[in-house]
Amino acid sequence: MIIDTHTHLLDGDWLCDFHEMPTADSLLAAQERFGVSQMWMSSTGALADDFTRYNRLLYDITRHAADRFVNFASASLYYGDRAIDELKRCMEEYGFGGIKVHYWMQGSTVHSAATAKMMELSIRYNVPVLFHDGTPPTSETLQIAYLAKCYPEAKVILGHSGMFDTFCSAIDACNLYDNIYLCISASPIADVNEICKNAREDRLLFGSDYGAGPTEDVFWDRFDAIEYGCSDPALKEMIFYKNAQALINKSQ
Amino acid sequence: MKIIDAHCVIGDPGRGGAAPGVLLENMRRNNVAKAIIVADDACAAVDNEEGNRTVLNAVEKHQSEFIGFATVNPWYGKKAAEMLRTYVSRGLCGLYFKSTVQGFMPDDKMLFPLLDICEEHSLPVYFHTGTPVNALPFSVMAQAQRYKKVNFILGHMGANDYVGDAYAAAAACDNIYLETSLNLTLLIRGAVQKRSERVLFGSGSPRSCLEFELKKVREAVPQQATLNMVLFGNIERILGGQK
Repeated sequence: MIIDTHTHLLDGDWLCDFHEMPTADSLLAAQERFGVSQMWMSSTGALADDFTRYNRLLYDITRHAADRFVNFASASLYYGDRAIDELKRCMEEYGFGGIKVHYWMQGSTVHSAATAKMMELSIRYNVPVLFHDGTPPTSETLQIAYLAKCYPEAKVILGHSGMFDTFCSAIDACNLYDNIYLCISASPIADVNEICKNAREDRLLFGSDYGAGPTEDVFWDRFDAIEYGCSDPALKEMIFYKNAQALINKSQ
Repeated sequence: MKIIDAHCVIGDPGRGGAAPGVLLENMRRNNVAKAIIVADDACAAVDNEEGNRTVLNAVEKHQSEFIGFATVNPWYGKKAAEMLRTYVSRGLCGLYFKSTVQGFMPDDKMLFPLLDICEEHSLPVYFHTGTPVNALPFSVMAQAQRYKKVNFILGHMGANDYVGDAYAAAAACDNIYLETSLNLTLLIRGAVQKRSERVLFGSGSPRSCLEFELKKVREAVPQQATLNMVLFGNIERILGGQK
């Protein structure tokens, strides 16, 4: 069983070449090909354009297969209270189960007033916040970890476990703060191995970044990295689904 | 099919390197004919002499399988230049930088004496890239624009977040090459579609698995002729001093 905790609805040419709008059927078929039972998904268009429209689109596409998706709301925090209202609507009207933040693409920083409101909202609705991490200057791993320290009741997911260069910082943060989860997505194999050996095992998640590229190689590259990098079958189960189940159950 | 791995690190496993014997075994298992080997992080940053000696010893012991690049930390000034000349005269045939551990910006003028030597001897120069602030593609490009006769290899093609910069740098300078290790299949495919003659297969081992890195390149490059360029043709050309 696999729960993919970091996926994107490829709803426009925001991140890569766009070909056609995904449908529930096409997404479910992809899940079938990958052996994935659930995708945690956010809109790519909501990162760059009318977030109200794109969060609604995500909801409409996935609503009839709700058990196969946990939708993460996204809204540029530059819009202040308008963004916060949108995130609230996604929780209350659409039943979204998380918040996605991508400071690198959306601008804003961990120090903004809107970030504080967003974190408080995540606590109020008891939903995890998935952050893109590993990219300076505004999406650095330790910047996100700082937010986790400031909001100990929040559930913070480092979306790429430090990505290319800061996996050690991600491991340390995960072990230091009780509310940080590491989504293993984009780590080289040796880094995956180190994360598995040194980070809290109950905080590790699998994420493919599916939808961030026009082809399915992204899923298989990320899946293979865990297959090669983690030699413990029991830990692999935790990474591939058990920890995600525990996290989302905590949130419900 | 011939395969040359453009980037492997040998040395202390605790410092990002692999024992030469382990690398050889992986090469044989994956039908890799040759590998370009460089020293581990501690040797790149501080123990340049030890690193270059280790690489040279491995090359001399396994001449058919290993090609060695020297490494010197440019902070050592004249000593670095002397050491580079010494090891080039002994048979190392490229220069490797890892500015993230060596502590400099790739476009710094303190590299000039070393790049002068590279120009004199037609040595390619490999830079680790993808790490801000001091290992980014455009910073290497600044040197490539100054040293048009030297071939510059962007290690890891800018890695995850700076691939767009790596593509742009390769488009701007015909002496910039993109090495594939640690990157995504679809981005390798993109590099080949844009500049197939400038893409070099590398495994980045031991940080990654040779088998896995080969799998990605084969997936990204289905046409055999182009694959041959990536797996060996392009690197052979620049090792021979050509563009």
